[in-house]
Amino acid sequence: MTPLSAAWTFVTALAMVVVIGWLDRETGLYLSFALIYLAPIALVTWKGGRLQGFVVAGISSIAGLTSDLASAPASLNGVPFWNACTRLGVFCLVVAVLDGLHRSHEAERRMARTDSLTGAANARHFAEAAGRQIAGARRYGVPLTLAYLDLDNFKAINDTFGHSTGDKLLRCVGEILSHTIRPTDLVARIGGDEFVVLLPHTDAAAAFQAVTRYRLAVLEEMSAHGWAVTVSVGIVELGSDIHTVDEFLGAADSAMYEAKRAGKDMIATRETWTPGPETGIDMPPEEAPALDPSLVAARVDSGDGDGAELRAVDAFSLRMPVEDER
Amino acid sequence: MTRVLVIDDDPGVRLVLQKNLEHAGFEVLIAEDGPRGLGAARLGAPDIIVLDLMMPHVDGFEVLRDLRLHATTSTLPVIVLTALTDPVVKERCRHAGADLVMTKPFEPGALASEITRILDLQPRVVPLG
Repeated sequence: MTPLSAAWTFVTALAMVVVIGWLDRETGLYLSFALIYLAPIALVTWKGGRLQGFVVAGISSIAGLTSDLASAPASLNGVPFWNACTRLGVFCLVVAVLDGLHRSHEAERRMARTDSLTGAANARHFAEAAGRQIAGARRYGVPLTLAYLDLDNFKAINDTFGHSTGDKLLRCVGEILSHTIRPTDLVARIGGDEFVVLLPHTDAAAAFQAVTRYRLAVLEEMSAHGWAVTVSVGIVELGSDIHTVDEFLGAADSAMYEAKRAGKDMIATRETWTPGPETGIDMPPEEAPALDPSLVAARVDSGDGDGAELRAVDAFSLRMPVEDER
Repeated sequence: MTRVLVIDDDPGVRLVLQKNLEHAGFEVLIAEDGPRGLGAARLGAPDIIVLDLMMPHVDGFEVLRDLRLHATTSTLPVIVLTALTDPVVKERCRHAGADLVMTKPFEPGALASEITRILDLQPRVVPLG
């Protein structure tokens, strides 16, 4: 709910109260409009929250009172005031109940989207968001990149220090990712120690810069805790060979696997390849363009910084990560 | 600085223990199996050994026995790490000369504090004069 649409809802509700109040006045004392007033009150409570609900409830009560007073004979004494108070009580009760319902509804929706341990998005929410982003990227011809992050050595931490420490570590990683990603990115936990980050409007090269930052932030935190955990990342840009979320995930997963195979603790990117001109079918990895000699695997040493180890991997270009500038 | 020798066949666990102990301020030596562990124990002058029980070929019991047989390592404190919870295993380790048996999983700070505790109990060699 944006502030603008909340303001519009409030204005609409006020207009409704004015119209209902006018009708109430025109139809005289004996026809009750209490239930009708609840429509604008319920509308603002649901859309704009409790405070706006109470304000509109108060205004509705005053509208009801003035229309009652306009047609009430003097002999009724304080009766219109008493009735107005009763209506106000009922209106406020409705606002409170409806607001409670709305809050629990929102909480449930949030819970259905997030992973309870790390607070990142869950696999289902990720699949929905990624599906939308793939369709959008295709339609508008903008790049879309997926990074698949897997924690190296997580099992050994779990075995040695127990699941409570493992959970603490995962929570820590989830928190760091959530705080370091750009506002437009989406981070999700899709398996035990596997996280994905979806980077809209970002090509592989830009994603590499962003993911390097996320990775270094995680490594710094891990070493601050004395946890021997590093991060292997696979980065894949949406290409013509990828049509579904599963294919996208699969490609990023296999790029991540290449990073693992080449020695863990590094980032592997797969350049997009386009269909071959003669066959129209996707070029298999073996026939992918020759590796640019500048694209090589590099181990970024998270600890002492002397373990630079270079390897080139078939069909995947493993880029030299930006040297640790810490 | 206290020098700890870690003998474990699992590279992941080795790394976890190494980082954990280095984080706690120890110097760490690493050996990936029993025979290499014995060599490092004799030549690397560790203050204490952290030993895995379940290793292929030469297991923790054999390493322990060998350590106790050799003069240079016979009094070296040894902490045995194992995932086995059987009290019989614990007893066997103690009998073979382990100073402490720690069952995995344990709290991240537990190993470092046990090392400090055991080393504090050791008799100190005070130079004369």
